[in-house]
Amino acid sequence: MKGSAISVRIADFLKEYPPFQFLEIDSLRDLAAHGKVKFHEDGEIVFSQGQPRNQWLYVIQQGRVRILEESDKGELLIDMRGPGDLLGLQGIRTDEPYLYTCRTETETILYGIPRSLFVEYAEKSARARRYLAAYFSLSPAYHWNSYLSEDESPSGEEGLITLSKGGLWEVEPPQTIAKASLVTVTPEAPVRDVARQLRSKRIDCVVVVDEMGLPIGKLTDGHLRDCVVEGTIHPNSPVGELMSTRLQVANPEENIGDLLVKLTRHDTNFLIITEDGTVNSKVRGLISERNLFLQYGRFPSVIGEAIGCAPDITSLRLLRDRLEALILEFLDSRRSLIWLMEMVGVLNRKLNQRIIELVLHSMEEEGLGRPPLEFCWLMMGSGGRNELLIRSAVYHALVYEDPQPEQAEKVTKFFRKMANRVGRAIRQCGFLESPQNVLAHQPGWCLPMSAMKDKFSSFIREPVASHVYAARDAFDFQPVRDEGSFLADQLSEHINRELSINPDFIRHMASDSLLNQPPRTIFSGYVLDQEGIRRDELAIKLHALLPLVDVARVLTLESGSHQPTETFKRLDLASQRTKDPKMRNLLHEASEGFLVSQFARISQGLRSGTDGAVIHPAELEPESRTLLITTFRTILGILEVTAKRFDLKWRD
Amino acid sequence: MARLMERVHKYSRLNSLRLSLESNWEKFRFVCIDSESTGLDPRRDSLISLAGVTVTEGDICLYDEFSIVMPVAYNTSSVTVHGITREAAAEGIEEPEALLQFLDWLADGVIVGHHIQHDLTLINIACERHFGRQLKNVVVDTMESYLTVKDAGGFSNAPEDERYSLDALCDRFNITPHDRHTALGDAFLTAQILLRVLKEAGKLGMWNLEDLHAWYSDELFPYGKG
Repeated sequence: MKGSAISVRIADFLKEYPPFQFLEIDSLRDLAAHGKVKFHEDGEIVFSQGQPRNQWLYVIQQGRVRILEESDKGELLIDMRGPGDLLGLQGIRTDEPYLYTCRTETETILYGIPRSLFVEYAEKSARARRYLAAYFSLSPAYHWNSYLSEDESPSGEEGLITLSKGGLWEVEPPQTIAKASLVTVTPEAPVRDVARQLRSKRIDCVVVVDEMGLPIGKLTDGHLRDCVVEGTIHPNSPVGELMSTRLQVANPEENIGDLLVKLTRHDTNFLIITEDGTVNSKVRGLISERNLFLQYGRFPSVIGEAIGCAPDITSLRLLRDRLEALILEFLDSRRSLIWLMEMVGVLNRKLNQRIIELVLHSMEEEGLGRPPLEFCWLMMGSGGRNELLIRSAVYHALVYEDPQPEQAEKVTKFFRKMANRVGRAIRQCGFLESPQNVLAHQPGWCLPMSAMKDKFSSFIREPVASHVYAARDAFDFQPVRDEGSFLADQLSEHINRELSINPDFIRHMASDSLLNQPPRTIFSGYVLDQEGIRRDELAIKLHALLPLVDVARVLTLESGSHQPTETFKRLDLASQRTKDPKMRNLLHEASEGFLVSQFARISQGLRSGTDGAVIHPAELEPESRTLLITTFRTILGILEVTAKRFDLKWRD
Repeated sequence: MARLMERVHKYSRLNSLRLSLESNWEKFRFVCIDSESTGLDPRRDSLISLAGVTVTEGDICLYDEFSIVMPVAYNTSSVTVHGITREAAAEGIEEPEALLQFLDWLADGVIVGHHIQHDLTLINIACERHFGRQLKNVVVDTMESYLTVKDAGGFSNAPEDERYSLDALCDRFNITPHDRHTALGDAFLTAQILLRVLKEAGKLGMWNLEDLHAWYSDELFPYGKG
């Protein structure tokens, strides 16, 4: 099929964008020839949430469109779409009404193509199918399995779930991956039969289920092999005697990012999918790391494993370099930022753990002995908030059990030495250090429990005299290791208690958080401040991230606890707590705004090899630019509200 | 010939009840067309190609598109403008059949074109020659309708010294002039201009054909009986 001049033009446009790039050019011309062209001025509704879906799928040819969620809270911005982006794709086969409202923000031209014809062509292309599966899994509105379950649920009355088509790159013919499905056995099954199944079905793991179909164990290829080598198993023994009962489960709603985080956090190769994500419901699928690995090529959990057994600091540094390359690769939207922050949080903790292990090992070898008391290494600042994606400044502290007076000197000496070495190793891994010296290798931040409590008490009771402004980041801490984490818990309790009896402290913190303000807008590559002065640099850390981090901390401390520590979670929780609908909206937008700013910072920082504290607005993608402008307004709004709430002076 | 005339009659029947120029245009099928001819003199030159695309309820319907090429002696200058090669033209469809296919597709749609008079004259002359009658559809010229809407207060941010050629309006509306000087390409550009004009007219409450400066295609022609 040749196609008319118009459909040839449209096909040429479409083929620049996924998933159309995966379709044959003739298919694209046919789609175009059956399509239509729509024109919208700015501020027009393309379709409304709840409206029945029509037969069209829209592709933006030019212009910008806002995706909005309408609720009783008002309108929430879900996404911004530009040229090449799809509108109205949501679950291909279903005819449920539109989930969101689409409103144009500029003059917009849309290509409408018939949904049914698009599905027909997309089904024929393995890569388009996979792209769509990923599209649904990575988009906030869809769950990773929705496409599969409505599309071609594998045989079996429950519709078993496998991660068969969830990847972005074609690495194996789709049929091969699609067949890698769940195999279940009963605990009575002889090991020999199970081994046969493992071999014939070319799988790495079977799930052992009880008569109700609930998971009770798993048996992996590797475990079976070990048992054979150790001679601890007879081929006729029931698998129930051999299986591992340490199960990590996930629910069918979790997206690929969540699954990656789980695999990494639990150091496991398999996740069992059950109906409700607990072991008390039926097994519905099995996710294997290998399966995911095939989808993603390189993989964070592999780095996690490598960190755990790195022989020295140099290799740790190389691994952290690799992680940064990986972040850049995965950072394709601010949605992926959420799980990336969590993932990198897990890996940063692992890195710190390994550094501590290496340091303790070398100290022991030098005859300095083992730690005389339990201790807890605290990551503070962006590390404590799980926001340390780029190796910008670290904040940390070391707290240990109170020593007996007679051993105090020895204990102090040991932990200071340890803190010095750990601090140096972190530096060697490429991290910058807190300019306020909130660092464990500073004597003031390497303290026994009671002294650390006193330190926080004086921050809270005498904020001015104790210069709490320079130590704000210390309130965002989390322990690096599980051992000794009770010390972090004790410190948390102490802080919360102090907060409850010193309410004035919150007001002081609130006042400190008003110091940094965002610019007014970004216009043709320049940042404009309120005086209209143009700059070609945007100090995004100081003027967008910091105010949000500070306000989020104030709101969380005000609620009586310093947890959670993640800024976007703090803002979201504050949004859920408030009864004022306007405030709720503003806080939710601020949470989004944090992600927008963090996304801009991280992606530009990683690309330019800086810490991203200062970015160049001219290099921003149009979408990021627009969202940042909105974010500036949100920040101003939230600072204003904060000032009002605590009766503080704001903007002279 | 009898079968040909049957098809002509079918077209005529469809257009026997003329649309009132006072009717509301919202649901109408606008048929944006353009033609290419051997030259600019309607008495001497003839059609080379006819093409168009429709606009219904504010959307350009690519599934309702038309394009046809007629055989022509390769001896004029305009073919280089339109880029139709000797071979393509030689393989074309004879004028009467091409016109009938065009009439089938046109049906009772509202004809739209930019500077449409020239195209209409050529089509009418050809129809008169083969079938003894002319087009009877309602016609909207995008330039005229643009000006009418502008006079009524629309397009308020239009520049002072505006020009109204197809290229100028494309430029003004930020429409990329792809495939300029092919019949289908120009018809598509015209359709894109029409979308803007209809949108603006709607905002001003100009819902009647008359408001778009519409007229009947068999009126006002000096060359009618050729």
